[in-house]
Amino acid sequence: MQVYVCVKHVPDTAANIKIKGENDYDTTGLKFVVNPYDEYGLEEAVRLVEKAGKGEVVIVTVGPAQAATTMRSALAMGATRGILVKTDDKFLDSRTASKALKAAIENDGAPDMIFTGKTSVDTEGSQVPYRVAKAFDFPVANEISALEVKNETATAEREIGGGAREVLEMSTPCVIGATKGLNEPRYPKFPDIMKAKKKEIKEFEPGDLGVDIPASNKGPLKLEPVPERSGAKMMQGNVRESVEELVQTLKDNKIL
Amino acid sequence: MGSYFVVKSIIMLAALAGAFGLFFVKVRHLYRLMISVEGKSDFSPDRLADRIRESIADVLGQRNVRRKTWAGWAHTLIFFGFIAVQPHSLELMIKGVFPGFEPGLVIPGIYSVYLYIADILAPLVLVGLAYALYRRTVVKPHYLSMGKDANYIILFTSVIIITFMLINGVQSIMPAGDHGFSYENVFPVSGIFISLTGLTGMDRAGLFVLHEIFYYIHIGTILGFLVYIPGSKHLHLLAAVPNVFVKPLEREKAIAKSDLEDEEAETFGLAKVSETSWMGVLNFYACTECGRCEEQCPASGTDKPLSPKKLIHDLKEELFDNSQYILAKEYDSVLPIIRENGRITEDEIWSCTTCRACEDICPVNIQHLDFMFEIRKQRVLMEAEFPPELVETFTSLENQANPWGFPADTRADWCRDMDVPLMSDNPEAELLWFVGCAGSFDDKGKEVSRAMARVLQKAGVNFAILGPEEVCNGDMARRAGNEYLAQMLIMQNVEVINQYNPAKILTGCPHCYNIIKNEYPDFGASYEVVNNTELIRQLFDEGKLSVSRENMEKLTFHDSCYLGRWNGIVQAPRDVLSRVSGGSAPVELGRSGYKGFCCGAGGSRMFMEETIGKRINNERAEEVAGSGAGTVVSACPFCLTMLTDGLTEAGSDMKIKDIAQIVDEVIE
Amino acid sequence: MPKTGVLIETENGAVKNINYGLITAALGNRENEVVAFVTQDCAAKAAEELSAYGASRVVRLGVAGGDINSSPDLCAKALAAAIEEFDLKYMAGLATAPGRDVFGRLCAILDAPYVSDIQSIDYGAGTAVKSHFSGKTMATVKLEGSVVLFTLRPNAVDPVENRVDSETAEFTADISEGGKVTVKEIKASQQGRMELTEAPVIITGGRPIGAPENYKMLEECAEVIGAAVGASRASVDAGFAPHSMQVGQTGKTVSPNLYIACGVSGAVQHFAGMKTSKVIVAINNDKDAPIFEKCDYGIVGDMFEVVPVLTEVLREFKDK
Repeated sequence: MQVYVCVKHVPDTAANIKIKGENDYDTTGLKFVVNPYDEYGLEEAVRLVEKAGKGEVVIVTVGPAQAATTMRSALAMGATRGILVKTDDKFLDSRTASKALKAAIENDGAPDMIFTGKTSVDTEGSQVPYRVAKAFDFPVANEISALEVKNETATAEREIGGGAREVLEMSTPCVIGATKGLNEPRYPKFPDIMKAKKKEIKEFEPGDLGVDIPASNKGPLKLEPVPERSGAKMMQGNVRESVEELVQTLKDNKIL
Repeated sequence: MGSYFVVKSIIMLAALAGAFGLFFVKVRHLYRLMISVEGKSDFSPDRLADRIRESIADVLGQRNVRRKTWAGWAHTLIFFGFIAVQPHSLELMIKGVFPGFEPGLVIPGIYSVYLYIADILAPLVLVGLAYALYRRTVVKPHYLSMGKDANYIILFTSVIIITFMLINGVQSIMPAGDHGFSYENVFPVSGIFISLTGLTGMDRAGLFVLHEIFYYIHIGTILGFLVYIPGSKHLHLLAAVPNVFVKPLEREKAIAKSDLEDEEAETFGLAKVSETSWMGVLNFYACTECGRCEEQCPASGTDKPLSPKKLIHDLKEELFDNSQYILAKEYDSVLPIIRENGRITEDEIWSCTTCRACEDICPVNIQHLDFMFEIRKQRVLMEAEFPPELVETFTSLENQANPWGFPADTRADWCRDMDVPLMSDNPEAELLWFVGCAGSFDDKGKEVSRAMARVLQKAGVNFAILGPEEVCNGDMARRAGNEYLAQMLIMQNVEVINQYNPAKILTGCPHCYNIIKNEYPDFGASYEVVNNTELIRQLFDEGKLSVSRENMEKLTFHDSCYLGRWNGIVQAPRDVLSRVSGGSAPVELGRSGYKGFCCGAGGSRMFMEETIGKRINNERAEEVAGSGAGTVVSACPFCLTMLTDGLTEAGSDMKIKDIAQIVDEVIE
Repeated sequence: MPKTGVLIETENGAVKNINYGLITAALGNRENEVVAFVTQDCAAKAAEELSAYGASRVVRLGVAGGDINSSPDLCAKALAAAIEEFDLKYMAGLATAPGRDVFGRLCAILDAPYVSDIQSIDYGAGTAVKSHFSGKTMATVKLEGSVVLFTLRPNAVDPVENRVDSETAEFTADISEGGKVTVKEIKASQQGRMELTEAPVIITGGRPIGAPENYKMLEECAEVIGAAVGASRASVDAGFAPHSMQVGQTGKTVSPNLYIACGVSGAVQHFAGMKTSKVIVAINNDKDAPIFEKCDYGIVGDMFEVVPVLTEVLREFKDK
């Protein structure tokens, strides 16, 4: 079984993002990790291959040279080897990224399954699984929290609000965008961390794969911090008044 | 008559050869087993004088044993009485083979004095045994193993002592006759004893028969005992002394550093009993299952499956079960310690708070935690098997260098408005204050840090903190078995600290204190480390701090395990509390000082669920709440959290403060 | 006047309230004409409701020879055909689970730029604002392409009434092949209890809840706003709630849009598990509770008095 997992190199969600200039952020001292949603996809891929008893899990990353370090942690979680398409573009658009992913996978082998995360936690684009699927002309299901693959049929479940779940069926090969609940990604064993250091990561320039990164790709026009919490607004009056004020405030701030 | 002695000689020779032979074979087997294990010990026979002094104090002085008063005295009586009869028993054995052997004729003075003393000490063994029997049948403490083993030993010993006295008694009323040495006045106790039996009138032949009967029972029991010892828990007779001799001489100790760079290493931590060192095996042999460790253990005491005694016992059983493979060095065939239906379970391993009460109380210096730490290390590094709730903590430590996952660059935010310098701005600071994660990110901990910063500022101390350059000290990861993560964190800190090369490091958290002081040296950072309580006491002594408004509240102090038991700091906090309370000492809790009871947070338990048995912090909080004090003072941020929760659960309105906060309140 | 297509979410033949804000956003400064698409047979009723906010045309969207709702692929294909048919410059939807799914498919079909989950749009500048880095920053992004696709975060834009005349129409797209993915089943939500980790709103009860049955009070409130119910460690330890409900360092880590903490002191072990929540509301009778230093909005009061009123007010608000 040949399974590919698209893995993105993103800043740790727990870290502060220091904005640099108008539309950039400072990466010095910033901890990068495997996009958390991609980890669910990776774990699922590894389990599928383990269950099949043969095959490999190949992780594919489009990102900077430093992404190799986060790829090592994905390799420690059970992936067989990696492919890195190098670009220094921090805000590479989803269309180009998907084209690069497609080219890299196609160049490598014939996928039986492709996994991605449901979205990346940096640019929150939520579209790569669809674009990759379209490029391969595969079925796709995103935000998947339960999956069963049997006899070339994949049955996937996704939450559609209010606790209701949609059950989708498709043939394999297909693209699955994973989310929380699909599994508990494993904590790597130390020998696997050491082995991961020696696993192969093939590096490509986008041009090697015939992918063109448009020069106009400059990311957002502006990046602004969301103000930190600075003391609570306390609701005043009796119970009824304070609750009404709270609900109104939540409404005014588009939280409800 | 002469022919009887010939027969006796032959019987005795055969019996002695058989028993000693068997004993030798058994001991040789145990010894071979001990030196056939794979693990390497880091023991070096240094400081011989200290080792001898310690051994004398603990063995001949019975110092450690008597930390439990009554049982200790009973043991002391048994110990000395039993030792005292041994030369006599040896004499009887030789006599049995060589009837002419008569030390009384060669050294009558010394011999008489010896017998006189032995005859007084021997019956005292019976007093000790009587207490032991009383404990086993009436008191029945839960921590005492109630196997047949102990009863046999009591029976054997009683028989040996009673027959010793009977032999003595018979000898004392037997006419000196042909052997020429008179036993008439050398048995102060047995003499009186025999005179009460009415045997004094018996004829010589009758007395001889009696003597021979007692003789055979006596020697037979001793030889039986000899053969029995190596296979019983009474192996401690042989192993305790060497175990005390090789014990760590310092209270402070470090978790063994695993060489993770070693590409040859196939495994880390302790997967199989065969991977322990000869010192580990000696530990198993030395255990006599007295149960003091279990009595002190906070996990055992709150109905967790862990008992330190059981752990050691089970490891010993594992060793014996696998002895054939170990002796043949077929280590691959040795079963792993943690396995399905194995003796030792994951729950036991993860119940430990690493408070070290077991090691501290152990009369024969068994190092229970060395096994605990190594087994955890194996579980995490090799199997990634650990309580799942630790994943969040490990990941946060890995990514943001604190257990809760607060952004690493906000580490110094607690002192934003306080004019606390960073080492990078004040590299010449005399004191590098390693604030720690709790002191930097936890609200309660931050309050403590702010109080301590004010104290330092008022005392005019030239200090600085690392701020975002600091990462978690590695204690949590290390004690949870994640040696890899721990070493990453330790190395980061070591690099930063070495760059500043401070004269002294201050820590408010005992976990920071312990690991930086005792474990960082293995990673290339050896510095003088001082704890808050010690520094504050020193600042008072030097007159740099003075009390302006005395504390009027009745205080009690909860000892942190990592300050007290791990590092011997029990007096400094008490001195400080007395100082701020106009000389009145804090109320002592029932379990305090070296016998302090854990709050439940140590050994990374702070970051695990506690679902089995009673919560340890509740157990402690109830004791604290019943102390009669108005405020409980702690000197560890984790104790502070655990006790706060425990006191809430107990419905107590008792106040809880860190020692730095108390001091901050009373100084000018 | 450029035309903006809007995919309307309906439930049992009725237009969901969250669509009105979407119409308002789609309209911009009334520089656009809004064409609304519905996939259920409720165009006439929808037209009546949507025209109040500015939708001038409501189209019943379908596919030839099939059920458009049987596969998200069909809906995406039909929308792609509609863009051409109606000469749309923009195509907008809601960033809900179904909306995100259809628009993901649509952008792939068209190979067009797509901005998901935006919070506001400026047609004049050709920009939209959306979250980057899990809500830690807001990014202003350029809207590109000959057709601009975007989804709007529900409730991000307040609906503004703007009655227009509206007409209804039907459009049945001819599609060359069926969907690759079929909806096999919709599983109804499991009674009351929603999954904590992905819930958009969480309401948590701390130790003062006092008894397992008192969580009913929180469940009632949760039901009104589609929230999941959580518990603090102290409450779980006291046996008032199962461990599966525990939020915190050793329980579940959550980051909902709204976190309502009732009777939770806010100790670090709990805070660590919910600190990434977008908005935190605290209800506690201890005015000095540390939670008040970390929340956005606070009410000092007994949760047993405040929560029932909150449920009532939320219900009134929802019904409005």
